[in-house]
Amino acid sequence: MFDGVTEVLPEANIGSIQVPSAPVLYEDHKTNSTANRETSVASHSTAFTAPPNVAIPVTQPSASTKISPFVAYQAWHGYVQNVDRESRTFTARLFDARNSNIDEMAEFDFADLSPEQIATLDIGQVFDWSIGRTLQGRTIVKGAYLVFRRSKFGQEEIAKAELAASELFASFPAPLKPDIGTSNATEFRASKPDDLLAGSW
Amino acid sequence: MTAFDYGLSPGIDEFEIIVFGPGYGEAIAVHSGGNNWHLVDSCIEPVSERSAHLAYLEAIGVGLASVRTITITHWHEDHIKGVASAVRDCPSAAVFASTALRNLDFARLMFAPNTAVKIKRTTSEILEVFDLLRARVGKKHPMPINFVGEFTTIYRDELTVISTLSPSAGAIYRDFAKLADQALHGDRSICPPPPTENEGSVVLWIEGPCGTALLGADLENTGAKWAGWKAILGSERLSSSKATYFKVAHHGAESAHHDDIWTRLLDAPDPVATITPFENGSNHLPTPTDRLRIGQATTNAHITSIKPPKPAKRDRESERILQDVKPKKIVALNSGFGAVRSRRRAGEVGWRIEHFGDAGAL
Repeated sequence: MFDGVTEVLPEANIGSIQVPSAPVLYEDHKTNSTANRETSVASHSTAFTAPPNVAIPVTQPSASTKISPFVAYQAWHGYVQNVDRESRTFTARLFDARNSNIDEMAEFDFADLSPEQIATLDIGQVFDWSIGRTLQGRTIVKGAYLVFRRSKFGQEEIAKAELAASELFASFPAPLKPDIGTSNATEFRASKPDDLLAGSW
Repeated sequence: MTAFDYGLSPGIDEFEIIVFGPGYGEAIAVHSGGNNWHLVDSCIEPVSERSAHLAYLEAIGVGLASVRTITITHWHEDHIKGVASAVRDCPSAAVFASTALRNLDFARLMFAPNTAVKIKRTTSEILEVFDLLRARVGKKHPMPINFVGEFTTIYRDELTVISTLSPSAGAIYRDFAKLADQALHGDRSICPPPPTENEGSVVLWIEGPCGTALLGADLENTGAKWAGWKAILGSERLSSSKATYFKVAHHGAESAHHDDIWTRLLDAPDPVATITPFENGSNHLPTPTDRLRIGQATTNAHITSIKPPKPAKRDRESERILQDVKPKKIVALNSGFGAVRSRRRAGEVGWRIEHFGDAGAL
């Protein structure tokens, strides 16, 4: 049962989901962020939902406790749709990693994020979210991982994208000419309204 | 196999408009008469998992060679799922899209490197459409697509004329400016930009022997007289005829409402009004206020799905785990699916309305 993620989601793009091999506790997580991956909620412990400066007695596994790989039972790809810093929540679209026809929306609390993640949280960020179990010593622990993707693109990738975009754009025909209510049809073009102030959008 | 038994195809002299809506999505099929069909936008039908209007045409025995036009009113996700399959399966149909898509920054957005490709479904669907069309003619020829702005004829036969009322030139200008803000970023993943007010949407006006219809797409008002419904209503190019059918714009939202739509473009009293809901968890359209307002404008309003959003079905183990690690809220966006079909023959007093699935009166 705890043989690893690939057994649970063998066909489900799980290979692209960067689930750590073991839960990362909140305090560990704060010092473990990397340029390409940030790990949040490994949520078996109340330490993840309580403010970090509140001391709650929790029996932590000792350093010698054997921790089995996290087994994801369900995984989603998501992107941030809206950030509400007043209510300290963000909403996101979720796409089931195994069933592309299930679309969901979720509202997450900032308590599920690290301070670094909160500081950089922005609309459009993409992430993977998975829920599952792991075995810590003799204890089964339920948990969830929210992993933001922060890939940095190389100049080569960006140049390729620019070239492909330019080629596509060059293949577009001119827009049709409006022909209703006019005897002098000209090509339809975007035109700046007289009263549009720069940046007013 | 489709979700419902749709019965027979319309008579050759019947005007038909069928609107599909799963709760988050919209697709329309129009029979303008003479076995000429027109598809507008696309959403997925849950049983066949195909584009809803393609599944419908197949179910009522209409060959896809009868599809004359496919219109992509705008590129928001709830209007374009499955549109690439419609373009692929209807090779003889002319494809029309908002000029808002004819933009280098939008092209850049489609090709932006992104580690989470699966969630770029909006731009990848449009890119698939472009790829299909490019493949038909090769790279040396212009793509066989028709970018349209306001007041442009897109289809004409002996009996029927279909034309655009929007988007206006000013709206496209502002859309392009917004897209420029989404320019290629080198330091973070990119996904479709957040939903914004929709000014670049293609509104269609269909005039035929059985009546006139206004398909409002998602066009909204943003205050400017040169964009949205105000640009249409302020134009001297408007037809003098009035529509007896209205696919209500932008899911019945207040932002898409203008009193003059109902008085100047629609034929009082009680034009048929069809609405698709919009549920994204935090935003529910139409709101109770929207329903009241539309209900005051016509007693003949219909909606494609009356079901509220609910949690998705999961296996028992996942559900148990989720109980402990659940976010504040999680809801499925497509809880229901339904269709509203309106048919009318020349000389008939009103439209005959049928509800399928979760559709009902507003």
